[in-house]
Amino acid sequence: MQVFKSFFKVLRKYIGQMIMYVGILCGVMIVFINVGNTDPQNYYKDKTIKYAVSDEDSSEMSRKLMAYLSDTQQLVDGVDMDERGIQDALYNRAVDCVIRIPDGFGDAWANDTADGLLEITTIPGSQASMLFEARLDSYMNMVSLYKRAGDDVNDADKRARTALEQKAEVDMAEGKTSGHSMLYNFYNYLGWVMICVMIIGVAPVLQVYNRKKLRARIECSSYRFFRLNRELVLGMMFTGCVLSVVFIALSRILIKYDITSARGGMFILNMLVYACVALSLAFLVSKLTQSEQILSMCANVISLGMAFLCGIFVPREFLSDTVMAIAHFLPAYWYANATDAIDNFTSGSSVTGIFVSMGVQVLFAVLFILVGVIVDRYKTAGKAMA
Amino acid sequence: MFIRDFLYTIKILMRAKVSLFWTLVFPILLATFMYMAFGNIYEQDEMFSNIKVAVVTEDESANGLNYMLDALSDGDDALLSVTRMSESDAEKSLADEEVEGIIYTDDVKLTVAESSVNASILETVLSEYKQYEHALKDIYKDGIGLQQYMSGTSGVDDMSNLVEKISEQRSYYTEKASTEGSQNVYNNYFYAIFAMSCLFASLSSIEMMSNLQANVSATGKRKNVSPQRKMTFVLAEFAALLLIHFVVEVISFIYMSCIGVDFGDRVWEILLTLFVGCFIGLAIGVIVGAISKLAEGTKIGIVIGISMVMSILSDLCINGIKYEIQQHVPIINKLNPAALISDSFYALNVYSDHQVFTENIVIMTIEAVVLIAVGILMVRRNRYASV
Repeated sequence: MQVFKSFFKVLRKYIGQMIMYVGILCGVMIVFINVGNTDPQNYYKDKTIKYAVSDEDSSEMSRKLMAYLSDTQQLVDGVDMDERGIQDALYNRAVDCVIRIPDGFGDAWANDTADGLLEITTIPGSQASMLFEARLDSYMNMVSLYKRAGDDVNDADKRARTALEQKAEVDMAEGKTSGHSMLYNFYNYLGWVMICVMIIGVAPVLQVYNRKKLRARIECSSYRFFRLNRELVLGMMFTGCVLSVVFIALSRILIKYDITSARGGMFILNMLVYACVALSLAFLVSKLTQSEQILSMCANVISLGMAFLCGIFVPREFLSDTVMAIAHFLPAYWYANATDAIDNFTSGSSVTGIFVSMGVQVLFAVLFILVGVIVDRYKTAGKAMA
Repeated sequence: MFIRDFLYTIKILMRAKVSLFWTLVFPILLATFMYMAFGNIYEQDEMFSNIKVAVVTEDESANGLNYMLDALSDGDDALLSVTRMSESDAEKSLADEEVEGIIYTDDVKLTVAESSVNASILETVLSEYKQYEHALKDIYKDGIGLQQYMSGTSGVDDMSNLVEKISEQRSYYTEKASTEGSQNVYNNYFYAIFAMSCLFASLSSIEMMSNLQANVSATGKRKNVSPQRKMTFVLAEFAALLLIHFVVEVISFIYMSCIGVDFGDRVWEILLTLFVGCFIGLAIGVIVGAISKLAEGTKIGIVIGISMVMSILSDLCINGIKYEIQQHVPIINKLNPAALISDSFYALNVYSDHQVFTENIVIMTIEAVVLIAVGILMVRRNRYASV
């Protein structure tokens, strides 16, 4: 088992970089956990809009309006209300709308001349501004209706609020959910990290055994070719298994999810299949180049490219049809496809789609190995001819 | 001698494939991936376009809500795009994501596929109907024919009257934009790509500094024994590196503009930002390269690490980090060259004046001059023992 042992001696040099990528995955997950990403919801939850307000009027009506908005939408404190502060807060989506209640608004409302007086600074035409403005006008129109019916400000506000509590019944369509589970986020980002770790860690080790002089030394030794390859494959598989165990342990520690459940088991199975794809890709890349620097370029371009195009970094519904069509030819698409289906899996749903996606990944793994072997044959034949 | 060294440095740099990859090819590829991924998000996820909705009605004549929906789906900039269909067809359309919701007019009910802002807008529209129903019942308790309005038995004219009451609402606000520039927050990623690639110019100046130090490289030995003044080498090579990296950034800028990234129309100011960005990037390489005790690999590791951390803090990976730093520890953004480059792009896009942009350019220039001065002082008049 000399080759098997030497595989890990060489691998030791790249463990630092591999740990760095695992660390990045942990960092991303900690960010997700801290922003309060929740499990997928199969019920409707009303959206509220982030806003800041500046009340220059301080009339009874303006206070009632501020109280209503504060109770029904998300008031953001600490926004600088000067021009730059508002520009920064809106651009960075710290708030979606900034409302200014001008001096004299209360009196104008009492005299029925308050149309268009409230000033809303926002991103015109955005969904958030539409919703906020619709709700603002709902309240103002309702209060005005009661005022016209003879109520004073207090009664009009009270009765308008009671009326505005009347809500239409909203259901979520059967089988549909909003958002994704934390476990999904973990395994989704793993689609990027796995490729990076394998190409940066395993491919340079395989490169060592491709070096002309070392290869010639091994070929003229008593070590059989089959044995060499068997031990290299064993080394790769062992590395893949150790990394998979690390990822499973991390998912358990970070997310505290039951990995023995059907969904957890399928996530793990999908990850193992994808680990094979990543290993075969590392094998292919190691055959294509002998330069460590090019390897680093390949790791970044391939992993980031697939992560952006296959719906790992960006939800798929935002990708154009052309991008989705291209993504079909990339293994990460099928990994993400399976991850998505597993996250929406319920006890009654079919698993066919999930296994088809895993099967396509296996085909990609086989394809990469075959291309790698052909490239190797071609290069070896070239060297022999020379 | 200056010209010769200048031209040779350009030649050498044109052949440095690794450096060109990280400063030109990688940012362009990253920008392409990001554009393909983020290109649609702003329009699809944030901007409003009329909401496609299926309406299921068993008894068309008996419900005022139908009139209200018609009013809301009338005209070019209508809020809704209504299609009336059977319940089964509506469910299929919702499952196929052809509509965003199903409104059941008979029992004023809504079914949606997800909790989204558009779903909440639909809910608001539908609730408004119920709210007015409640308010009118509340106000006209003694009855002014409301029951007839609601049941539709009073005829179309009366129904129109009710719809008029509801749809003729006043608008109490005036909407305005905070800036004339693009509000696409995803542009931050492209600003950060420029910050990263400008800082990666430091890889080239590390090599330049290695080639000036006799105890670091063979080229350094040859240059030190030559009668040429060291300052001439430094100036010629630095000028060549600055020119090449600036050209590289301009190529990236042209490419990104061509694929559709909106950088605004202040092109000259953007070019100045890129120029000063390359200047500070090279300056970082000069100071790290001047530490002769470190191996070249370690120096490269240090500048890549510094560049990446600075770029991540200026929104390369997660949007919003720079803004959060600005809110809590603004001094970091005022010192971080990547944040200054990214902020200059932002200021040119959003602010109407040049105050923040000028501040950023001045700070970067001072930082670069200080770093270069310290770097040169570190390698100046070094004498090497004969061994």
